[in-house]
Amino acid sequence: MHIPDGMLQAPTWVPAWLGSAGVLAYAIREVRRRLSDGTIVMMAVMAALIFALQMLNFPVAGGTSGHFAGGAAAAIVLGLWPAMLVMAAVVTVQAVFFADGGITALGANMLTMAIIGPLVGHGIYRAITRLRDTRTAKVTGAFASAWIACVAAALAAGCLLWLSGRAPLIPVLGAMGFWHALIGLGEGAITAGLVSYLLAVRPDLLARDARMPADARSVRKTALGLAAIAIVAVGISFLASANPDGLEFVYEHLGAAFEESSVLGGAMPDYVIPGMGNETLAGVLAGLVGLILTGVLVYGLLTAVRSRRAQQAE
Amino acid sequence: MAGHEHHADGFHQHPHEHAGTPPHRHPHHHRTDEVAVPHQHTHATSFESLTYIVSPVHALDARAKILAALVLVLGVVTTAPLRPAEFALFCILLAAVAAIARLPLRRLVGRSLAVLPVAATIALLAPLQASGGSWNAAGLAAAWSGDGWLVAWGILSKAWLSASCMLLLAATTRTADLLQGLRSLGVPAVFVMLLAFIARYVGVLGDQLHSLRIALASRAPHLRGRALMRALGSITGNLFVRSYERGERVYAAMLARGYTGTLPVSTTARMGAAEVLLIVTALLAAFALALY
Repeated sequence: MHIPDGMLQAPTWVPAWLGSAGVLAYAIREVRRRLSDGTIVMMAVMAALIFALQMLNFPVAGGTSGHFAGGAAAAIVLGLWPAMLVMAAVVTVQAVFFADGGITALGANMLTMAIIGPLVGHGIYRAITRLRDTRTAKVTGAFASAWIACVAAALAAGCLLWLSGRAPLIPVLGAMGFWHALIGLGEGAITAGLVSYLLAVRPDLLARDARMPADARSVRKTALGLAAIAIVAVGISFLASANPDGLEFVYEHLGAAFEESSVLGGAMPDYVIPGMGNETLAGVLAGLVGLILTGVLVYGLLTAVRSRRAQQAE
Repeated sequence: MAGHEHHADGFHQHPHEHAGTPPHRHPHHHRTDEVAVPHQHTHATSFESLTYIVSPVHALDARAKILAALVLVLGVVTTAPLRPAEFALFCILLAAVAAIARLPLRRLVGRSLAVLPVAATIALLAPLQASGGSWNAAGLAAAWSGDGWLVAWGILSKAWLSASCMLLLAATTRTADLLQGLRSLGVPAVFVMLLAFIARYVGVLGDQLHSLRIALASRAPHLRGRALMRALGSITGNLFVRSYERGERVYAAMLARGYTGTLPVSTTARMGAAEVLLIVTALLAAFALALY
């Protein structure tokens, strides 16, 4: 579900980035306003825990395995806004330290895994436990919310791919939905197990969320905001495909130009005497990059040799 | 883990009896099973050790490296599918940086290739789609004139090059510097703190998870299906409680050391000629991609 760079197009990943950044900024504000320093430290350790728990693999039908994601679990135990921040931090570490998921796609990955997942999970869990506040309701609610959150996040990722014109809508939703409906069973079972364990051992941890209630209004605002962004993104995507922008215009021309460019031309082919055209400029820039790199390499080599000589001289 | 004491040397005791003797204890070593053998400690970054190499690139300011990586990724992502010359230029650029940084190229490349299976699943849809018609937002207006394979190449090459950029950043920047760099580039303090705690504690908690799984596997090696899931749920709950309590201890320790709500910052940042050169090189490369 970690979308890498290069898969989403600008009309999709830019709104996704803006949308996630907005929601997370709001979440940060809420967390700072309502939580003490101590609770924030606790939340940070929980972020490390969720990251570690993502290494929890379990078998899925067909010999493959899924892994625990934890969005709904975080929302149930920590509350909605802290859970969003925790999940966003997890996704960010994966992207920045492990190149697991792209940087331009980070906004989209945050949107699906850190915002939609916890939002849906939190909503379902609250709805179920509000109906009946029993142990069974909580455990079942945990299972249902984790399963639905998992499927919802996957469907959202599918929609983003569709918006970027990377995959046809129905098949991509079908594939993502089917697969994550299976993975979601494991996710749900583990989340239910977690909640039932906490109910038996430390029921006070589950009640903590009550101290930081996500009031319905702000949740609704967030949901509406996300919906607005989605509509704008859809609009931009359609417009972009109707009127090829600069990017796609270049792209269309490339279809033909691709064969022309020489494969054997080395790093910087098509050297023309400066005077005109983007290609020439690009060639000059590429030449500059080459010059700098060569310079630094030679400089590094020389210093290495000099220091070795100095060592030998001693 | 109740009643199961884990000692560093692997020896431990539990009460048991031999025929004809009363129950007693003596230290012994368990036969290692397949769960216990591939014990890898989980580290914050897969390249933690590489960040301690001494090189000109490692010595650069983290902000400059972050910005350069961002510029390069943006350049790669927003350009049209890379032509062979562009691709070669970029590979040479990355290889040169890796060489200057004295990084083991093979290990770096091996790790970067991990992005390909993920990207390939979607990339391979593109040729199908190009031949199959327009069921999607972008295709509705039939703007896709390109060959589907070119699209697939674009996705794969961009995913790989971007991932390589980020891995170079991660391999040449120490975790603390990287976090400090993000902070000074305007990422909110609370968020950087979350990242810092993930980097610092994922190893500890990952090891705890690992020993819990060994404990589970040694007591109930044949768990399947719902029973396994319930056990994994209990492991998760157990870790939650322990992490929560760890959080309380960590906070107490932080208070004892004078924590006032913000993490301390070391100010060794500098933006010298080398940093500017790096950013300028990245900009030049990105523009070369965009213009060519």
